[in-house]
Amino acid sequence: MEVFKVAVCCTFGAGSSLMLKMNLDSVFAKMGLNVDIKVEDISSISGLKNDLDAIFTSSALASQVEESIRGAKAIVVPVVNYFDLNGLEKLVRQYLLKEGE
Amino acid sequence: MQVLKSVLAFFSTQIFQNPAFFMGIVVLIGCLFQKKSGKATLVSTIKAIVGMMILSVGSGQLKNASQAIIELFTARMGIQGVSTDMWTAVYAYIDELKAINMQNVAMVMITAWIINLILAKITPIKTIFLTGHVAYCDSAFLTFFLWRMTRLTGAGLFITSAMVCAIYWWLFPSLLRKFLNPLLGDTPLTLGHNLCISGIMTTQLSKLFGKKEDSAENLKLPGWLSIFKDSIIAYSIIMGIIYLVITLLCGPAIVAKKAGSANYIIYGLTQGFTMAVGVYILLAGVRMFLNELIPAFKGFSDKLVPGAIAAVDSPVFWSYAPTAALLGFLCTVIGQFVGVGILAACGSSVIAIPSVIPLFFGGCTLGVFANSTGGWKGTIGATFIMGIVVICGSAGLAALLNYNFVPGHSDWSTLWLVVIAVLRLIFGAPSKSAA
Repeated sequence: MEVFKVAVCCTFGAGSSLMLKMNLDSVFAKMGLNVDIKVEDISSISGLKNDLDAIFTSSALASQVEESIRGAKAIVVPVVNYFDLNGLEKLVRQYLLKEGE
Repeated sequence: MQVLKSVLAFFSTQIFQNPAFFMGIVVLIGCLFQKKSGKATLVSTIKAIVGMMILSVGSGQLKNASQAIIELFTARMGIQGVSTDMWTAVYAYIDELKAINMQNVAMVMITAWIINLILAKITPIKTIFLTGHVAYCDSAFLTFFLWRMTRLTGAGLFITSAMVCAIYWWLFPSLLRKFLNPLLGDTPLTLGHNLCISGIMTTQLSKLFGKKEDSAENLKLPGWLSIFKDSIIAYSIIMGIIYLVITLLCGPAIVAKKAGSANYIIYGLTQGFTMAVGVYILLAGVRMFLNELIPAFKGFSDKLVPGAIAAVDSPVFWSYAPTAALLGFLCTVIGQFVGVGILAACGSSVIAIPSVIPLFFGGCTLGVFANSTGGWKGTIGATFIMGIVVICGSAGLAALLNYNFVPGHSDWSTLWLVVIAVLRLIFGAPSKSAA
């Protein structure tokens, strides 16, 4: 079974991104998908860009992250509400599973 | 009996006074509770120990870099310079706490967390504080402040400090929560950072300046401002410039006392960039141990207090109003430098030197809060005033503590400034002038 390689990213990579990781972990588990989620900050993310399927980050940081990983295969997923698990599931379906639309 | 005594003595001196090994034990116990595999338990425990050790290396770098600059500033101006960087303060305080064997503030943190869980379980206020690095910093700050102001030591200090931390984390984020309704609706979330009372002040100040309908999100700010979202860049640019200005003020002769053969301009820049180096190292360590600790703690609290309100770190809120966050940062910068000007103009004997965390993390977060009640006009007005409050309040806190490293975030220059002032009235001025 495929394992999705995902990073979550914020300015510090310690506080809010860890919350997002925990919520994503439970969303992926509920959807029955295997995932490996790393927690990173904006400065380190470009070093991992070719190793990742997707980077989940705050919509306030998305453009900054997109700039620093330009040319990589990873897609940037902007998140507004870190704690809306249904919303997160929609994002996973839309960006990683390419469902709908 | 003798064996038992020496085993106890070994634990109390070698483990419980050693933050890294203590954290290792906590994570080990957490893994056992979660019934993790032997391999996963070993990995998590080692990461917790090494993470704490890396954290200490990084914050030591910050302390050394800023102390040199502050000493130069003090030598040149004859005015006491004060650092407002929270991680620098953590290192300085823990170093001081070694004198009374209280350097393991991680133990205060874990105890305070348990008290927070119990309070949330048995009272109607269901807030659980989940910002691990802030919890660690607060434990160091409050333990040091209580020791310095009340001269409590040992078990008395430990219990008081853990109680005070727990109440601060449990009560104040919930007080802030109702002021965040325009922003969050009914999401079970609040801010877990040293911006609670100051956050309430900001939302109220903001109303005086504008209407929330004129949101900052309709403005277009220059794109280059977003580079400050990268903490390495923010630290390098902001601390580089501030330290460069201080070394320029001092001139080559005074700077040479610290810089040796290095050029004084290069020395100022190097010290500024060293702050970025320190933060990068520190973050690697913080991330390593929090990744092991927080999920275990959250799992535990979800079971014990279902439906709790999570008090979380500030960047969670920026996505609700990214432009207001940057506007808040910008006006906080202006406010803080005006604050420095006010202190200088008043002939203050203590001057607080702005630092990245109160400027950026404080500024962005208060900007988002201000925008939700007063729009862009409110954001400009409120964050500008809070910038002045941070600098003048930090200088005041440093004077009350008689110590030139303070945490910097705006709760420390409002709520805790008042608390420390009251303690000083009761217990008198702290005698020793350290650091």
